Amino acid sequence: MKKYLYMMLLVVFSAACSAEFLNLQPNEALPTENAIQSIDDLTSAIIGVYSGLQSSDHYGRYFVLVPDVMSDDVKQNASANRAKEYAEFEAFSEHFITQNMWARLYSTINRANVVINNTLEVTDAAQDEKSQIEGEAYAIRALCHFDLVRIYGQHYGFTGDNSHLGVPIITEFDEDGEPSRNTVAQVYQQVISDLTTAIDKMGDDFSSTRMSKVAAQALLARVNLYMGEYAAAANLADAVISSGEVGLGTSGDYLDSWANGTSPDPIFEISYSANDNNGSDALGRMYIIDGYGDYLPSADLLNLIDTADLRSNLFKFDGNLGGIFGDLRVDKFPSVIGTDNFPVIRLSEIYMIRAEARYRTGNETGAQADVDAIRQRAWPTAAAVTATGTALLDEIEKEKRVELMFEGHRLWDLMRWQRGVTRTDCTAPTSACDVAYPNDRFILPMPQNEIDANPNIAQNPGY
Amino acid sequence: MTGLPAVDITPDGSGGYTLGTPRVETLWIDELSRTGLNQSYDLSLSGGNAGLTYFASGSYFKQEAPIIYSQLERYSSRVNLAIQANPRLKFTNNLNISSTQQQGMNDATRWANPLYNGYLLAPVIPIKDEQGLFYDGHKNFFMGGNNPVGSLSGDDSQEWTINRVLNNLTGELEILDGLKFKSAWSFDLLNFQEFYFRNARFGDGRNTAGFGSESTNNQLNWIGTQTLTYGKSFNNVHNTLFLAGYEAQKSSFRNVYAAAETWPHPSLRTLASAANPDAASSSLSEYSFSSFFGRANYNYDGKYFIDASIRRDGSSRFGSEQRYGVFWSVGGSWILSREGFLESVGAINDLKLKASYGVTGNAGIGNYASIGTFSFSGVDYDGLPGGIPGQIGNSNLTWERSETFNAGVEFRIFDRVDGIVEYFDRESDNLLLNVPISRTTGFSSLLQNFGAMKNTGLEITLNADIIKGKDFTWGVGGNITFLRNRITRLEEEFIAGTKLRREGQDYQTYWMFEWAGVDAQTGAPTWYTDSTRSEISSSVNDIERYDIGKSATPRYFGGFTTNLAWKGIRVDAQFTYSWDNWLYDATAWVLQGDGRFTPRSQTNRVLDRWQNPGDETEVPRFAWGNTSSSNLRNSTRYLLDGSHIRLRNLTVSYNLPSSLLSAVKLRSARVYFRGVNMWTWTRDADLYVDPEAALSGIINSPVPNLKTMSIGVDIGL
Repeated sequence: MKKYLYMMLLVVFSAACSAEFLNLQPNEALPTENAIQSIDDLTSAIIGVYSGLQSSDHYGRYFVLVPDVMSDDVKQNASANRAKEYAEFEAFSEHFITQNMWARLYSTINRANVVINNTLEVTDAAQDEKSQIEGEAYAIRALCHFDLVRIYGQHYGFTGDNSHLGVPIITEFDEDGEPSRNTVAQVYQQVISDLTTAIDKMGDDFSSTRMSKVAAQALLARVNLYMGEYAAAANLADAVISSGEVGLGTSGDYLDSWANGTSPDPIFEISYSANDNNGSDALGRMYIIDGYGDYLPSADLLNLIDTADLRSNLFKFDGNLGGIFGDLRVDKFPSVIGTDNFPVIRLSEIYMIRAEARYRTGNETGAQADVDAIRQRAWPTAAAVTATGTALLDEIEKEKRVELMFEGHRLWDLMRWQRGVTRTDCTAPTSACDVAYPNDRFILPMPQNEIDANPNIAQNPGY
Repeated sequence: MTGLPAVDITPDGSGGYTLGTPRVETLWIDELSRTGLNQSYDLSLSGGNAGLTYFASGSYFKQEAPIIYSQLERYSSRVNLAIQANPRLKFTNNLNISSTQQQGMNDATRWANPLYNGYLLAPVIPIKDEQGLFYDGHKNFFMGGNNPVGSLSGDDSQEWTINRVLNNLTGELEILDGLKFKSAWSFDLLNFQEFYFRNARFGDGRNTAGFGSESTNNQLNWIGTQTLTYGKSFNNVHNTLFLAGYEAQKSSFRNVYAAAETWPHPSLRTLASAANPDAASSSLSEYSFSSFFGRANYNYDGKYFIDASIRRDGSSRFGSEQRYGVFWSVGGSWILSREGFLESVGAINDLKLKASYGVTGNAGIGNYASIGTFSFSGVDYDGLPGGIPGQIGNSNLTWERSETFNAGVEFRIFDRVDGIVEYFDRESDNLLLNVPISRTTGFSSLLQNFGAMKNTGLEITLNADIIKGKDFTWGVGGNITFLRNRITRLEEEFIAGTKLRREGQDYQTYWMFEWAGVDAQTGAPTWYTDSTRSEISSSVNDIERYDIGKSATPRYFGGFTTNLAWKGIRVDAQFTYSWDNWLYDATAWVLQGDGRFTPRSQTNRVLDRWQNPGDETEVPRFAWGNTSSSNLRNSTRYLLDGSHIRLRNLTVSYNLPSSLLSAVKLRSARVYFRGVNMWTWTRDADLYVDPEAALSGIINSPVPNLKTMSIGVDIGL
């Protein structure tokens, strides 16, 4: 009998072990408080920030596609589907793109804040690396706020003092936070401050798939252009061009670079590899023959491109189209498995920024030269630009439109030039063919699920 | 059909176009369905002697589902042994082994569900092309919409193998008279393997020369329970039983996944054949519980009963400071029919009053839900692994507690009618809710103990033997539950999908745009602009969601049964019903999208659409690429009345007479017919979905519950 009793006690006490038994930790994650304890951890964290930019709700697709389908460069195919409400200016606050894009960009901002607000102490030897990583995070936080304010708020200059509503500025994690919207002026101020910090913190190393000092300067040039600070924009563009980190490339390489899944002159591009399984979520799939084919190039754009211009080869004939849909597909991002890198900012844009800034500051010769640099790379036999005055501005607009087509720039330019969207080749309902400026519908509504959870968010007018 | 479009589209010169006659008309759903067939065979034997008893059985089950390709085959065996080692020591071991092979499809509203796909593909798309190959000319319009008939022909595959060993071992030792120690151990080993293949020609593997993946999941769940019980009676009237115990449980789940692309031949089915490894990962997830408990039962002379229990449970899922919860209950009952003053009342056979009050806990959340995490799973960029904030921590997260009060009466009268009437009142506090938070945090929700909820109701069960003849009997029975659910406390009201969580309201209250019908002149959708219902609008920017006064919780539900027996023939019918529960068809915004998702097809409800001014219909105008938002989600347009009565089970059986059986040396023989879900009546005569849905009322799949009919034979040797 005693034997059994001992056995019994053994069984009970072996099972009834300590509190350790209940102390289980996840295996694919670390507790937040232990997350950043070394420079390697900080490296992991910045990679996480970049992976946020890859999302189809940001540079993977919709942040680029949506403004383009709202512009006059793109028309809808008969099977157009995903961004159709935007192309027809019928967006609403519960639409999945409106809701998901907002959530995604703030998620990336939160990831960047993890890097920026780290309390890591490193050795002197690792100080430069830490500073570089933090600089990258500042630049990406700036980019995300800038993208949010562009698509959810009216453009800089919409009101005299830019007191119109922008988006909340988030620089720290607060799980109970219910922020209200900052003004557009405040958001631009934050963007400039973050980019300036980024430039200070980063070293001279350059890789186009990562943020760099040059990329932050390039973004700051764009921000200044949008603000109408032309002298500053021109100076920053000078700095980027003269840095020599990126060249325009040759005419001979121009088409190959697109065909090979990159771009001729990327300053900062989002890398996509087969590993990312971007596939059907890719931007290119919205355009190419072997994709969804939702959207097509408009004749308004095609008519600007000479047959001798290499850029006329960034389209592909599709005999299955026809009638009002034409016979061309966009082939700028040709990968069927979504491995085209996306150029967030590239040197061609910097030339066009400088051209416009030079024009606005009275340097027409310089502006002509910048247009020629871009035009003659893709169209070597094109005559040099001799136009002056508003005719020169038209040339700048045309060149920028053609060079940066389908990269999500056109709508922002139209808005800041205070012009409407006029589509003469229009497959949308007539109400969406000629849309006047100013317009509540040039920006997206505040997402309904944000308003529901955060009562401090005011809806945009007209929604 | 290669080279020719499924239908000719001719521009009419004024911005529109006209459609020609389709070259084919494919009824996809018909092509994907078949009449299913189930087979099941069981064999069992049992026996033993004073020291050893045994039971063994083996069974085989095969189901060919009503969707082509889908089938399930299971072999299982069971051995139960009980050994009385000596008068005080007993061991039992129950071993259950099964192996299941299954192939089939994904459910729910995804392209990967061929049946859903079958609804979306237009009938103008042919199944095969002129060469006899599965047609793929539509693939650029339906990226995920790969020919589902081709997919289920075996060109794609989705196969599962599930092997399971479940063993329950107990040892029971009577230490002293009345004092027993019992040690019970349960081991559940589950191995789940999946093979998934997408073909290179017309399937999802077409851009990668074929895609295949394999995953293996191993789950081990063990529970050890040690109890000590002591029972004693005093003076023949005071009966007591005491129990104390400890239970530990741990579950671990490990997954290994690999995928590969570029397959040399479509019929190869292991990753070894593929040229390019594409993905490899593994994961491990665990949870544990640890509990001490005690219980005491007392009764006086089999008339008055008092029970009390207490337990302390710990769960790995909660915050480190909040892991343990203490729960208890007390209950009592009184069997009046054993009292002298009622024993003489012949009409009353049994009468019992009972009441109980207790507190229980709920830990039904994710394994690491309380821990703030920095996650590395699936995060990479440019060939480097990354980490991201994965989850917000909540170290205060703790047990959800429910306090339940029950009181009722059980009776049997006139030796014909028995019943139970029971009142319940269950108040749950510290509700574990995923509460939406501002997306500017980088997260969409935070799991919190966020409120309290109350369920009160009355449950009545009645059964009566109406005819009790020698050869003929007829019985009827029924039960009904009246249920009232209210949120009694909430830190802050919030919206969860289609629902509003608000104090004083039913937990499943719908928060929706209210549909006001189709404008008979224009065919445009209309909604009420706000809860005053004084204005309607066709623009989604004028309307708002509000409490529409409907809930997914039924006002009452239950079932009733009837049985008839005449000699060896027996008929059993079981009905279920539910009343005033509202269902939301979450598939409808696509399947009845009024052209929003063209060229995807529609269900045949589109045939009732508005076409001419003056048409009175509930289905708006159809427009190619419709942007009228008529298919707006969270709209009562897709809210359906789930009130129904259903004949859940009908069984007709015949027991062969013993005179016949003895001639062929059988102990018993029974033949039967069984029908499941054979008949359903719905209050809404036009209800097109299956009225049985989850508690939330959300219908996520276009696949209805099956109607099955089976015949069987039971033979006892």
